[in-house]
Amino acid sequence: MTAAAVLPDLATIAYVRHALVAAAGEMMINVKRAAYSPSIHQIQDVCVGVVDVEGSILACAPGLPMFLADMGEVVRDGYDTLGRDVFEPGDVYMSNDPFTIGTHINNIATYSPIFFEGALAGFAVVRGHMVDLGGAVPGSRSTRLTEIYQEGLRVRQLRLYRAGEPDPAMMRLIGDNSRMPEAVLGDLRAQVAACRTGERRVQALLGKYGRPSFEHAAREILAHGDRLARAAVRAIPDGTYSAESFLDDDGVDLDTPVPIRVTVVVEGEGMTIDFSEFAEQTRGAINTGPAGAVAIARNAFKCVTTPHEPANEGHFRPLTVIAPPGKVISARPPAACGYWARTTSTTVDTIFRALSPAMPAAIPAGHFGDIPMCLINGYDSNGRRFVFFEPVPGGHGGRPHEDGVSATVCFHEGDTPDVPVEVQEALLPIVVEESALDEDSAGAGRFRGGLGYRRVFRLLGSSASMQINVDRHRCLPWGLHGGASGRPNRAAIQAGPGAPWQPVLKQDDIRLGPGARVMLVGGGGGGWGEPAERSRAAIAADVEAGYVSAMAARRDYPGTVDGADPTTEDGHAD
Amino acid sequence: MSWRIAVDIGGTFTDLVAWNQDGGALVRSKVLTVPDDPVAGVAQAIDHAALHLPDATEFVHGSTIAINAVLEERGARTALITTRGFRDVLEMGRKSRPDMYNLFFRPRTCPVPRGLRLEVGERMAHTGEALTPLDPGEVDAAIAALPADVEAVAVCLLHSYANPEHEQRVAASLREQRPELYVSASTDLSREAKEYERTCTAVVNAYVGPLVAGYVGRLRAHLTDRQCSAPLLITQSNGGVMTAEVAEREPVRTMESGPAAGVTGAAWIGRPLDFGDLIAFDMGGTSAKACVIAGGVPEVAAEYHIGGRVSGLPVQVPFLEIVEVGAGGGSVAHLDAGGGLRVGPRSAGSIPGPAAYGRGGVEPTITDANVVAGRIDPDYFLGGEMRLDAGLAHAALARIAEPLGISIEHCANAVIRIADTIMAEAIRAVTVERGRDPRDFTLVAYGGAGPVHATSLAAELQIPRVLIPAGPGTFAAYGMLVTDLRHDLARTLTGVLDSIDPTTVANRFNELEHEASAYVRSRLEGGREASIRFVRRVDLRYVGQFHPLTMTVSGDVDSDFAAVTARRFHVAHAERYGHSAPEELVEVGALRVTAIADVRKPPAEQTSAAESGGGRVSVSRRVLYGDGRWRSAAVHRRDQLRVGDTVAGPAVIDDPASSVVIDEGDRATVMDGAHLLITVGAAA
Repeated sequence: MTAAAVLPDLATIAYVRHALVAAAGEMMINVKRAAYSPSIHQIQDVCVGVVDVEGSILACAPGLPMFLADMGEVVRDGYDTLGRDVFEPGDVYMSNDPFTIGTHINNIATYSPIFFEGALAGFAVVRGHMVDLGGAVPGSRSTRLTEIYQEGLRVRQLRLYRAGEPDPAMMRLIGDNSRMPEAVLGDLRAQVAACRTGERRVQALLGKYGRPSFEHAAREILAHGDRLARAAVRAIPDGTYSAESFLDDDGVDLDTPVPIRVTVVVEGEGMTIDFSEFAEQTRGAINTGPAGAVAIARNAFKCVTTPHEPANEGHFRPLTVIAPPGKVISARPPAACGYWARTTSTTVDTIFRALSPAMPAAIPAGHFGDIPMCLINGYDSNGRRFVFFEPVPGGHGGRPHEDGVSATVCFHEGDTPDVPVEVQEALLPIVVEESALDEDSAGAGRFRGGLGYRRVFRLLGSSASMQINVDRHRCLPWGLHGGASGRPNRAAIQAGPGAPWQPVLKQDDIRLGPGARVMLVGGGGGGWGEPAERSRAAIAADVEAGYVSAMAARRDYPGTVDGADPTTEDGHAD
Repeated sequence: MSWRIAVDIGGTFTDLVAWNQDGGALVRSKVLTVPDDPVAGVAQAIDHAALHLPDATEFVHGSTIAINAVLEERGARTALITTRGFRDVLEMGRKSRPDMYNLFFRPRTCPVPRGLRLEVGERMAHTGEALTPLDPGEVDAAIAALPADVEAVAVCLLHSYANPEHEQRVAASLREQRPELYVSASTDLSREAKEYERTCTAVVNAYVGPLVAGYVGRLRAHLTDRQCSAPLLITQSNGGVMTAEVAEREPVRTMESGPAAGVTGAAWIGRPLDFGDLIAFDMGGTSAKACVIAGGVPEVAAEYHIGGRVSGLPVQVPFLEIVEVGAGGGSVAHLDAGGGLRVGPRSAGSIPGPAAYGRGGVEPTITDANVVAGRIDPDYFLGGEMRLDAGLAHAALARIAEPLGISIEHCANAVIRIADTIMAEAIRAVTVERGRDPRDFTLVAYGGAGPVHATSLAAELQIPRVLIPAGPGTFAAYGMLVTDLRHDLARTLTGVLDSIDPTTVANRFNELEHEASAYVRSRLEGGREASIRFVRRVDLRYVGQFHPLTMTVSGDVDSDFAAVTARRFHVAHAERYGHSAPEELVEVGALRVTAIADVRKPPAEQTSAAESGGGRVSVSRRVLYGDGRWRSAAVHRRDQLRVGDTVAGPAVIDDPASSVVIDEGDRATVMDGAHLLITVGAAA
């Protein structure tokens, strides 16, 4: 009657796995709901998770995929810097040093030790984008900065809370070094509260199962993640695969492209992503520390192996990353890192491009690959200072079985919704005149790319100063298997009504008066497959909807649309 | 005779509960849903219950017609008129990739093709000031450009929530020039910012409008044919009802009517029992749902996504804050590539259904695991009307037990426990995530599968008490009988709490109450007399924060309003997020008012058993419990238990529409109203 009187182990493991993912989900909800800055409460430029005592990610919540690697890195760096015995219950530490934990100054990682029965059991980690941490320019980043020291307050492994209470000296240090102290301190409080949520939930799990069972389950969760990833790598044919692309420039040396070269080696159940041929670190602010190389490689690896699983460290065990020091994505001090996100999406996409011959049915054509951005700062009608940025979406590449998606954030970003125009206009002295799909931007193909995005806004006040930063204007979103390139990212400004539109890619301290307009355009995705193989019905539907003009259709799909085919390339008229 | 009749159409079954207001008992019936002709299913349910329709004084109804039209993309050919420069907002959405590692991520298909999204020149500011006047010529041109086959038009202009004048003029022109079209203006449905969400609200309303209007018309014709002159009421997602005429104009408010009615029912039966706060838990064939009822009132969200957050359509209409997870009786258990055991979210549905149904299903489901575990009696499913095949359930479980190298029983237990952990997540989402401890709640479990899992789920979450209502299988229809007439209104009012004049707040609340009560009063008909009560709420946040907390305001707004409200806000913020900032300024975002007109509710039911025999019908059956042990469980029949009877675990209580599993250490007592109260484990 009573056969096996033991708990079914795999059910306990499944329980712990779900519960950890749920804990991370709760942390995310809390940080987002209590946050002050649109970068967190709207764009969700934030990442949360639970890591074990060795710094391995046990669970994290969807947010910004590119924040993955540093979840554990900040804990490992904490051990290296502070030792393993320093942590006490109620502590919260913070770090934002790109050379140890990746990304840029703006992203502060806070983490708190999780104690159970007097011993360390793991950490809760939250990393979010602070709108301003001082430095030479509002927003703490600029295309013209060339050293980390110009980019604001760099803090490495300092204690922010002790025994559950904030350290007033740390609060003064951070508040005094920000142009937006209320927002930054409010966002930090929200991060700390989320850490506390993570602590409580993990402690409850430990209480329920006891430390040995919890640790056994945690090991099994990682081992299971590892098995899933290995099974996926095994399905990719062995070989050495390389690809290359480039960024337009580093923002300082404007005529020098930055080569992005990657090599992927697939061997049995293991994959190596090698950045040895990558560009050397630059003067311009597109760099990040070695954790950046890991984050980029992991992001790409996850997409081609276990895309549907909530991420844990096990999913990355079959991956080896080679990044010699001193590259753009493994930079050494004093490299400027403010615009590190310039590099990430294109590098991820280049890894996919390398793998496309090995897994043609799994890889889409190239996407717009950047975060075209306008950073605005000024004073609102109440005299309060604001610093605001919003990433621009664009088109993703055509797929082996369908067209690419339109006007969606790049690979750097994920569950990161935009700021509604109705909210934005209440926050900033601007009027958005157009927020639309950019017609004729998609690369032609059997499955065309997704359409790019166009936004035009007009300034109401005169006190605003702006930075525009747009890359991937010269390296077009590539097609695959015969598909054509999409149109690139671009931007333009108009000084006043009737004035000519001036193209601009990277420019700092732009000062414009009321009535001036800014246009930002995220490019279209590349096409997949020969345009000649596209169905006539699909071409006709595109023309009818206005996704593709009749003229462009006659050029890209000759003989399929009534009217004379244009004989010359009509170029990219803006 | 005066009957109030409630009918709930679900994916598999159409349920009816009726009450004779002249003092009779409740009547229930359950028939298979007729997907191609839902009115035929309603007719069968009425016939099965042997009801005489001319005796009906009220007919309350909820269905999945509107939500299925959205999920299955079968709505009307719909056009959209919007502000110049913004026609692609609907297609682009919020531009994110929630499924962020999926290279083939695809947002939902846009419900309005681009060629039917038309623009007009005009512009409002967020202050409500007209920056550019509406161009009547462009409005006429847009209307003239609508193709002949368009059936419905949504209108949503930028910042119309702040000033609806332009939008209402466009809608008026449409109605005047094209009276045959179904027209939805966003501001008739929502007065809140966020253009994508408000546009979606108007579009979804227009998209399902003709279908819902047609269905309501057919149902009304059927009722009229049968000499039923009772007013027809439709349940809403906010836990209220409205007249069929309003439902035809505002069907977007009816999307989640069944689940909402179940929660309302749970709140109603819980109130006199005085157990404090409740968790309503509904487990059906494809999903499980949870909602918190605090202080007798279900929680309300201002917005939700139809079809899930990742790729669903957001709508800005009040909705009982129900969290849904993909675990129901039909959810399929399977192995992933890493050898991990997974349950759901895919469901075998009713076709082919669980393997035990014997309709060709071969994959193991939660129902199959429950049959193997002895938790469901295959010979008493639906009171014996449908026999299940335990052999097929075993064979299905064997498909995953063998590769795992475990016994079939062990595997069944694992499937049940994993299902419990998934459902526990839904309950945690509405409790723990909001700073509440499930141990302070009573779990009210219903739906066909709810009672089967209720005690193991409660044990998992350390919930001390479980309440299984009378008639758990038709409980959503019962909830419709006890649902009040209700209307929610909100207006943006921004400013720092300290500097807002309390008189302004009081006046705004009074205006909103006046408007809401006029709305409710105009919809009271058929001799329904009722007094109207109000709930006032306010959205608050720290200056600089974005997301508000919505708090109930009790008492009059007087000179202490700011101080008292701020103090309560600091406490609520600390409770919700674990921190507060009493030194910072608090800001008002919006005022909200709910007007409620109560309906007459059925009295508590009596048990029907002639004498107390304990309802025990056979010696015992073997039941596999969550700790992996088989125990000999006493078997009882629900309809043979009387008020005051107690049943100690291990036991099962078979109900025609469900079974209640009671573990060792649990104790069930039959309460007033024929509800079962179970004290769980050590809490007993």
